[in-house]
Amino acid sequence: MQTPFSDIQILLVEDSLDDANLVIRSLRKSNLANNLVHLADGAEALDFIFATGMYAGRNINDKPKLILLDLKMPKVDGLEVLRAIKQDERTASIPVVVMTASEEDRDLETSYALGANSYVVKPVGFEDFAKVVAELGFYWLLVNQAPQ
Amino acid sequence: MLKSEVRIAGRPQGIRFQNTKKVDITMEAPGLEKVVQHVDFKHIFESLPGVFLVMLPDVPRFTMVAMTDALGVSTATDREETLGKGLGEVFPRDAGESGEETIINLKASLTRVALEKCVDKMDVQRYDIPHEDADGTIRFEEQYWLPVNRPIFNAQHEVIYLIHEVTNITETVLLERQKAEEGRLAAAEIAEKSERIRHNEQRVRSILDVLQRYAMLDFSEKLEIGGEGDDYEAIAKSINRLAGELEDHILELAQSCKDLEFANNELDAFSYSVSHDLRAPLRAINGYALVLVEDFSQQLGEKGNRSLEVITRNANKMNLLIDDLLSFSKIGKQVMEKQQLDMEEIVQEVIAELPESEKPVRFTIGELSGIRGDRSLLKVVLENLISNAVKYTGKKEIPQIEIGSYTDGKNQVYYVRDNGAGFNMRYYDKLFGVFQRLHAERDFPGSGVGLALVQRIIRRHKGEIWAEAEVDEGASFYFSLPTEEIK
Repeated sequence: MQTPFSDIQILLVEDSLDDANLVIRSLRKSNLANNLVHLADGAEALDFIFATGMYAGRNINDKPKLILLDLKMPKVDGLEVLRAIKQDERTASIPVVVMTASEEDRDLETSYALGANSYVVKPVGFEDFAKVVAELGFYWLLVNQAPQ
Repeated sequence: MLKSEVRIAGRPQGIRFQNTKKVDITMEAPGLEKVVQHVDFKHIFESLPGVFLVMLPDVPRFTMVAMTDALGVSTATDREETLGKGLGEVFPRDAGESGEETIINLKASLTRVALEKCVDKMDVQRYDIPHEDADGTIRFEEQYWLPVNRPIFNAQHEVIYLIHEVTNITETVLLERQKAEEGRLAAAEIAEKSERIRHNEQRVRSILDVLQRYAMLDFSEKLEIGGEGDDYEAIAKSINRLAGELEDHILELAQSCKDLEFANNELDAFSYSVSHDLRAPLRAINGYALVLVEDFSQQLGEKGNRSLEVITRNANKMNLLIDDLLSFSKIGKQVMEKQQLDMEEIVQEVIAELPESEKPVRFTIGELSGIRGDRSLLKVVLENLISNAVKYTGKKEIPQIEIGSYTDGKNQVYYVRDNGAGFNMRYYDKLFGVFQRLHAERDFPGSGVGLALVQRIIRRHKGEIWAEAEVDEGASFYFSLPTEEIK
């Protein structure tokens, strides 16, 4: 039986609706946005991923194929979400691509140390960003074989 | 008998007369014996300059039998009131206790001489000799006499006379006493001076101690003012006052530093967050402009598309401004790693990395001395100065850029000189300000952050930056870096 939010391809965690819409548009253009869920804050993302709170009914083993994670978010920020995902063996294998406006080395180092699979700086020239996001989505969804 | 008399009389004059043989020879001369027989020995004796008193050995009376005139003068007596009388009947002349004691001592000595037949030297005796002044008052003069008592023997070695000889040593004693007094005064003066020196040394030491503490910025102690009102105290007062002022200044300075550091941190945090937060709306502007171009290009028409291009171009320019602002704010926070640098190598590297320019630039590279500094930061300086020079010579027929260095005291000065557009020195004040530009954007594009950034880097290296220029005649940028590490 199909539950809501099952067989998710991409989970996009991004507090800026404008940014989120542009990301979704890029992915859709590359036919990668078929089963995409967009959540606007870290706390909701944790509930979704670990099937708790308002997502308590969800099957935790129904994992997204790829998580696009913004770092700077209110309440629970991206680094906390990343840490929670990578520390839990049930979710550690989900590829996480960190997206941020920050070019700070500290953020980049922390992200990789926590187990981020890719790190992409959101440039102002959105054309480039769209390309990057599309390529990353393609790579992680189609090329990379997730461990069984 | 005569010979014997000669011997007795001659005795006080010296041992010479004991040579009786010599006298005999003299007497052999014809006619002399008569002269000798008539020599008035009594008169000779009484005229001797020494102070002599001859007494019988009739202890304890000591009958005085002969005396020299000198004794009479010394004791203010004459023969009539003296000779034939006992010693104690005439002396002491004064009623003082010292006179009594002197006579007792004298009698003891004479007794010793009479009984033991020996010479007796007495201790120095003090006599208070009376003098009658012109107005009739009696005044006692203090005198010191060194008395020696000798026996005079007869042929049977019996003591027949006692001779009391006195040497007046008052002058010597007084001189010695004066010397002793002078010595005592000198010693006291020396002691006082040494005490003064010791005291001053102590004060100098305390001044040095306190100065040393002040040098370590410890102002907990002040110099004591003892109220002596001398030079030391004047200095101590000045030091105390200056230390007070210095302490106030340092406290103010520390507060200013704290304020400045706080302001600086605030500014860095501010420009960093501004840079971040400014990007988000820019991304949206750019991104949605792109959506319009991609999805609604046809509906927009030619004018609409051109407007979109303007939007995109300006958004991109703003993005560059933010980039520069961000790197400017990062310079302040970046940790400097100083090392010995080969400036020529860095210059060559910068030139090699320059984007291809339309016209070939003629570079003249002079001697470039090495220096200690942060490589990446100083490379940013050279990148900015050299790329500026390239940019502002872009409109010249033959763009020329000269790079070199020279030593100026404890600094190494580097310069980048070009024959480009230059600038008006009237606006020099704005040259190194953030977002300040001396050229129109359409002539020479730029954000106005480059030189501000360069200045910030040079200042962090404790160096200075300055420039000289003339409109259309080119510009020279100089920066100096200290050759010695300033602690």
